[in-house]
Amino acid sequence: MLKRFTQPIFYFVLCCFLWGGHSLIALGQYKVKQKPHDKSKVRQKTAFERSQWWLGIKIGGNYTQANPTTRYSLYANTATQATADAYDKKYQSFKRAAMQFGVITSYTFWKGLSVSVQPTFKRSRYIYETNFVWQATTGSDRLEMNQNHVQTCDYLEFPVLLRYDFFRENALKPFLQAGISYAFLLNAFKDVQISGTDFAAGNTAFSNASVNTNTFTLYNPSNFGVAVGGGICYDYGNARFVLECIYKIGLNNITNGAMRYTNNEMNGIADTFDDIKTNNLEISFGLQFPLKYLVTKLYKGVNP
Amino acid sequence: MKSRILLLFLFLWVGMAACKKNTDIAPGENFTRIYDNGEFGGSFYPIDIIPVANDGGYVILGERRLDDSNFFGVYILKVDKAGNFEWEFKAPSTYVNPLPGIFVVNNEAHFFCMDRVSLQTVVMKVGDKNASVVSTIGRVYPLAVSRTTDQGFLLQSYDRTTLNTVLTKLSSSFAITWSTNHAVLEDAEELLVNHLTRIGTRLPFLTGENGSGGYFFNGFYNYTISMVMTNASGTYTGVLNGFRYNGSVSSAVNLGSNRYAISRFYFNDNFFVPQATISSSAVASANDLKGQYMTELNPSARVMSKRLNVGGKDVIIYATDTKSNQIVIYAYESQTGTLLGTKFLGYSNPYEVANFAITEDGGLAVVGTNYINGRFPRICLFKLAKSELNKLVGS
Repeated sequence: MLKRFTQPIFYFVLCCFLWGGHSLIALGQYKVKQKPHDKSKVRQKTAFERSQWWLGIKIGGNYTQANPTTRYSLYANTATQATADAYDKKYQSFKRAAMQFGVITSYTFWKGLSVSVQPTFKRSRYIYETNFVWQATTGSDRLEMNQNHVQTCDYLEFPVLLRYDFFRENALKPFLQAGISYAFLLNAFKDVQISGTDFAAGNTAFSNASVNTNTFTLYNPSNFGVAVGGGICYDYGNARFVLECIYKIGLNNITNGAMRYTNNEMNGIADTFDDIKTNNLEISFGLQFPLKYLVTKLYKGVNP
Repeated sequence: MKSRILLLFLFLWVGMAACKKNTDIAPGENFTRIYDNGEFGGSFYPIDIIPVANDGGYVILGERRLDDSNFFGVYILKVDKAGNFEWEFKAPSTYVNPLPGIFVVNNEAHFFCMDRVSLQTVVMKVGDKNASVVSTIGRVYPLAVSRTTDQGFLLQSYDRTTLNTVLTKLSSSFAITWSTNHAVLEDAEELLVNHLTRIGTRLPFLTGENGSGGYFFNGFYNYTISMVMTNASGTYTGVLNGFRYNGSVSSAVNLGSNRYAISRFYFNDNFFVPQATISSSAVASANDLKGQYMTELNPSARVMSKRLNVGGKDVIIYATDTKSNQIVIYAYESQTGTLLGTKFLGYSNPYEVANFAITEDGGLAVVGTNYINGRFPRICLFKLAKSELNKLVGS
């Protein structure tokens, strides 16, 4: 249990260290040379001033949508009038919130264009429901069982985004961004809440304790996708506050087909994963600082 | 410099993407299925499984509870190579008590069962979405059958009139070659009916070849359930005595000559003896074989054992049930009796093993019963990939 929390924190600290260290390479100061009588002239930007590195952190929440591409079930229906979708899982899109935090590193290389790499620890959740009914052919004996499955996956994500800032001379700047994202699975588990009604035992409703199962091996170790989004940033002094939204479209099946049936606990609740691709909506608040400064009275960050 | 750093990160990123592990698997390589009809009630118990050579699927022989008899009716389930349901056949309630063993004769699957009224042995053939009677053999209460090296069959039955266990040798066309009686000396019909109707203890009736050119059966003999040795004509030559009906051999595989891999039970205790020496011509006691006490096994566990070649290794596979309601598979090295690996299947709702078979792709199909919600017995099928089976035996 402790590992579930310490592991992401470790990765986060590691990322901060690595990316912070790498950013120091870019750290620089530039002493502005201006003659008093040239005030009327617009000073040309030097090569140093035409780019900027940013380093910061972000934190926020996300919602996940799971899209089954091929469905699987432990149950195979032998009834003559069985419906094809009798055992299908009912997915609920963007239903359960989860959180993410990470580091933002970006490099503004030309006017409002930047490349941003955002190593992020992300916990994503998706849920589905399974409903089963056993009905006597004669008489009213009937058993209904409902299972609510909450799947949790922890990823270390590496999105690489190309970003364009509008109105870059303003303090308040909207921006658009798009790119690709690659994620490593760090941990995964599921919780299942089982409830139902036994009509054969006097309409007795039952609710079992939640079953918690580690599902790490049932997922692919990585997830690849494309990302689009936008946001708004506000420069206050040398600090930049960012509110951004990223929508990630998963391109690969996150389920590990080779391991689909290998989890005995899953067999115990008659569940097995479908092949699924996930979409994820992420909203984050970030704070960034420039790493290149002009040495003036105000010690101002470069604004390319 | 900065552009190079940027490029470096991009290359790293692409490199990570390139490291994506391929986790695809061919359909049917491994799966788990539970065959349910959505009915409240009804009972389906598998007996045996056989891979179908031409389509990669499986025929599962089972039994189902009947409304008009306490015996269990014949049930056949056909699934494809991915375990998907194809068809089922519920034989008329005249035919009950299918015996473990599905035998390919002239490229068609055959099995033995019992006529509910006459109690005689019936041979049925699995057809296209059905099964039909091929032969009726005048032996009542069939209890076990096995294939012999001459492609014939060895049938154990119980004669309720003469109180004998009857060992019958059949030809490949199901004609009786010889038949011998082995005295029980008391009426064991009640025990037998309890076994067949699953009301009481299910007893491990077995037949096989003993490695000395003769045969053996594990069944009623001399007030006990014992492992009786015979010569090639079915004449008694020796016995491994059980303890009344509460202790005996529960599975046996001959390893050549008088060497066996067996399991045995004594009241509620189970023991594995992967290297046992049983003389074909002596009188001995099953309890004297000792063996490894399997504390995790269900007291009433049925044990299935087979000698298989897995990944080039000659192994004995035992499959049985645990007290924690799981199916467990043990792999032993057949020459030394060394335990190679253990694998548990299922969880929570009870699972019981029925039988297992090597599949066309070198994997293992394990068929058993799953009590859905702890109450409805249904047929379940575990298909282990070849790689999983190789891992089990350490090859």
